[in-house]
Amino acid sequence: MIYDWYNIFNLAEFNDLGLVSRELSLELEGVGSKTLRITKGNYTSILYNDVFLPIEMIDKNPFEFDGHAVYVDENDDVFLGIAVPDEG
Amino acid sequence: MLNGLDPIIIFQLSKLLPSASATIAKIPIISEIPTVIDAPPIPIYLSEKLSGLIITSESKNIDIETTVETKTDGSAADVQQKGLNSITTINIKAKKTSLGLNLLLAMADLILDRATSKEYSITYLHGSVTVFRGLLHSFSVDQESNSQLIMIKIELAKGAKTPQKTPEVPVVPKSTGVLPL
Repeated sequence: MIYDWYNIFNLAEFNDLGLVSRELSLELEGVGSKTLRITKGNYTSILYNDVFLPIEMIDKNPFEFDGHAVYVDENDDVFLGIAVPDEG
Repeated sequence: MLNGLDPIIIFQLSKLLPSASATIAKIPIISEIPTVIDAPPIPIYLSEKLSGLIITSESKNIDIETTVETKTDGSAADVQQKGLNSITTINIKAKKTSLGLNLLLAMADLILDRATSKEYSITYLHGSVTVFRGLLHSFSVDQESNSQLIMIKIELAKGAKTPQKTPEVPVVPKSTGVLPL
């Protein structure tokens, strides 16, 4: 599936903060102003539009769910993916 | 009452600027570059004669959250505290036609737009109850149908000593594909 990817945060920097949860307000290109919540549990996860996206859940990178995805690259940058509608 | 004068509430609108210290760090200057530019203050005397407003009561509340964690070995418990807020409540009576009421309503609307940017402050002086550079916590006006009197309730919270400009919402560009580019 093709996604629009947005670089949301750096996983290593978030872990260094020692926070359990953090809310981010971002202007996503082509989407608009959105609020995301990063939560640390068994997996560090992103909550976006009521969709919960655990990073590397069941060893899947990107982890895809309900038209959304989360991907972490080799630099620990975490990307949020929003599925591009199929024009066909 | 301040030095024999009536109680006063002062609205101070301001403009917050981003700190210039990072960009001019290598330029030797002695004076400090201000990050808060104040507009002329707008005082409203809470006096029946001057503005048609009368303070009926005022109170100050400080809320602190206290957590007591008892231990499994029965030793003395850990006590943690966190300051929640310091609120000064002012109850005011006014006539429907009073000048002060109209001023307060106008100022409350002006402040609402500036709440997130923190580009305002409110100072309140009445005897021992004083708030310097406070923030508006709530503002309400109640009117009874059979009365000419209006009840105003203003709650002021403690403000920051040196307010900082709220960072703007960052724009995140997109890249399209199966994986990020």
